[in-house]
Amino acid sequence: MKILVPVKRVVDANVKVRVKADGSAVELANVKMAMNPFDEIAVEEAIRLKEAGKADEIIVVSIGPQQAQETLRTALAMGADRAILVKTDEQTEPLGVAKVLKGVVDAEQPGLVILGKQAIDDDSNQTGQMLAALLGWAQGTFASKVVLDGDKAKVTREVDGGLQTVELKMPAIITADLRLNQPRYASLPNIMKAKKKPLDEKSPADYGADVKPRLKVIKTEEPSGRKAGVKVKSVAELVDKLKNEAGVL
Amino acid sequence: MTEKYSCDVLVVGAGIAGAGAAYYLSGQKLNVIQVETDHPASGPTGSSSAVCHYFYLDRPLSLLAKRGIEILKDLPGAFDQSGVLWACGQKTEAVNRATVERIRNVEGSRIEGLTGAQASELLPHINMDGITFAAWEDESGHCDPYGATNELVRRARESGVKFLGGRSVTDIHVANGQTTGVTLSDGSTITTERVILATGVWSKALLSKLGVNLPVYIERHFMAVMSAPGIARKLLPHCWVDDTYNCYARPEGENTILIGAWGGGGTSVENEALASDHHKMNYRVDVAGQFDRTITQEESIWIINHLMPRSPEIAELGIRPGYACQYDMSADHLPVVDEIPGANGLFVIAGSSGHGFKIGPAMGEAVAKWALGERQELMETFSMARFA
Ligand SMILES: Cc1cc2nc3c(=O)[nH]c(=O)nc-3n(C[C@H](O)[C@H](O)[C@H](O)COP(=O)(O)OP(=O)(O)OC[C@H]3O[C@@H](n4cnc5c(N)ncnc54)[C@H](O)[C@@H]3O)c2cc1C
Ligand SMILES: Cc1cc2nc3c(=O)[nH]c(=O)nc-3n(C[C@H](O)[C@H](O)[C@H](O)COP(=O)(O)OP(=O)(O)OC[C@H]3O[C@@H](n4cnc5c(N)ncnc54)[C@H](O)[C@@H]3O)c2cc1C
Repeated sequence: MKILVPVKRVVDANVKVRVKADGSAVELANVKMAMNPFDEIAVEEAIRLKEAGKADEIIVVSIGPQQAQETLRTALAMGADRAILVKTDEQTEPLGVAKVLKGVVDAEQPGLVILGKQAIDDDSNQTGQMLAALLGWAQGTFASKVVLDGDKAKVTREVDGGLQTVELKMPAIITADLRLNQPRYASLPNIMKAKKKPLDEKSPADYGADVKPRLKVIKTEEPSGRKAGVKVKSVAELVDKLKNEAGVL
Repeated sequence: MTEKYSCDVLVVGAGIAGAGAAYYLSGQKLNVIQVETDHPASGPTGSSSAVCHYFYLDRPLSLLAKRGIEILKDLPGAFDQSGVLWACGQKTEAVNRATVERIRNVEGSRIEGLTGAQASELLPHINMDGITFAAWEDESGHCDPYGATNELVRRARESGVKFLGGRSVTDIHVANGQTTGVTLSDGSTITTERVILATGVWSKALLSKLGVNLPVYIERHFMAVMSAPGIARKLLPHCWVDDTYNCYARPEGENTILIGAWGGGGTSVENEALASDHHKMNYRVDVAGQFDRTITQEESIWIINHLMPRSPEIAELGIRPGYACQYDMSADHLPVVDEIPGANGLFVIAGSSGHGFKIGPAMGEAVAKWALGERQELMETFSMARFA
């Protein structure tokens, strides 16, 4: 079985993001980029499934600019087998990405697609679900545990009320939540090996996908600054403030 | 709210040197204030590898390390007696052997000389090929720089030092050759005749406002961080310094190993390729605090390659994101410590050139004593005049 893992290049989670002076978008010039953390978890899960003998090949795919190659190399260094860069300089949106991914799925015929539950840049939380709809496949989103058994995948999902376990008929879509696993760090020998692993370059047109943006961003704003804290003198004062000022009690 | 303070001695900066100064002064029944831009150890001190050893070819550094380590060991939980093994090859054996003898016999610090085979027993996961001699300090080790600095400041505050955090000294006032006080970023003023500037990389800009050209510069230095879940201490039980490939490593907790490198120059570069790469690395910092704290994969790999010949086991571990911070450097890699000529009562501790953690508490203490009128001969070797 092949597993397909889409990985997105985003602003590094350790970088403090800044909005461009004209408020049009987040500043990306000279900002450190990295793989979306949830995608690292997705790659890790695919590798573990392969190590457990449940999969034969892991293909990683990124839809984005030339530099998304670095993100793919990181996934290859972690243990993915080959990579596809679908090159576009358009601002990608979940629907466009899902359309490209559908094309990749049609071409590669994977048994599973494991995505991150969301990308930390625009937090859309849509790509996996849209892809499931386009393919007409079952989906297990916000996965914190994945068990494969024959052509079934048991996925434990983190939902508001606690944990829910669903059984999916494969091929299926899984989106990874934070607690699914702890991704490994690539080692130097594996980084070197990754440089030699196959990386194909494609375009959205190769998959017949239209990735033109459908959404218009009107404004991007930084969160308002947090107010400085105050010291309370007693528990009674704290309770009073929680009740009467914060209104949370 | 702006305030008017006054004190007997003002300490500016709460890195390890400023913390050492404030700690010493807190025992002197004086009115002492410490000002810090952010919080204790918020600067390079907090990012320090904080390896602490006596082994230095320069005697003043060994002596300061001796006192510094004594102070650090008195802080509960901060000092890890992991031991420091400093290995060298034939090229530097004679001078390193003599240095070990000097440190043990003249300075009375705990150190011994080992053969390569003996060194192998201590660090079996490091290949000692070509190591002919190693300095071994079994009771030295590494420190939690953040914890140690904050503990010194906590003790100083407990003994009455007034700590003003979240504020910077923006101007130092000098009248007729005498220091008279400072202005803070919130507009407050402090009247005082004695100021100890323990502001590391920020010192040069502050002093240039007085027309003083402090002979120091800033470099960006970076560390590789290896993921060794549960096996960090097994692979590397002691701090390791390698004179032949210009690299050092130490365990950080149970799951992580830190690696640093100082390519080029050094004592015996046996690895020409690494040395030449050294010059391509991004070390330059023009304005204190303005540099990239994250490091690239290439930078991690460059560091790790210094350890590869000696320990593939460690060098082939998973690579976590590394980090960079600033060194305050002087041309001869010795600290610059002085009472600023033409500004009585204004003392500076800077230019610690990457050694500053272990010697920091001792430099702080010595300069505090100096500010109180006790001559410090050892500090005179670090005067600005040596560059004139
Ligand atoms: C990759 C990634 C994935 C994530 N996934 C999830 C997820 O799946 N689910 C989820 O729930 N979250 C998720 N998060 C969010 C993350 O878990 C939150 O950042 C975290 O929960 C915040 O907790 P904190 O204590 O660090 O926050 P803080 O910002 O430090 O504090 C939280 C609150 O504690 C109170 N507080 C803080 N300091 C004090 C103080 N000194 N005195 C009194 N009160 C104080 C305040 O009310 C404050 O709002 C994710 C974040 C990242 C980066
Ligand atoms: C990556 C790295 C690894 C290192 N490894 C070692 C090691 O293994 N062993 C070792 O001995 N040394 C090591 N060092 C060196 C050592 O950490 C430093 O030399 C030492 O911490 C410097 O301490 P400091 O107190 O002089 O300066 P700093 O830590 O720079 O402290 C200065 C303080 O002054 C404050 N400040 C600045 N300007 C003002 C102002 N105007 N007003 C108020 N406050 C101000 C800053 O916020 C800061 O907290 C390392 C350094 C780095 C960066």
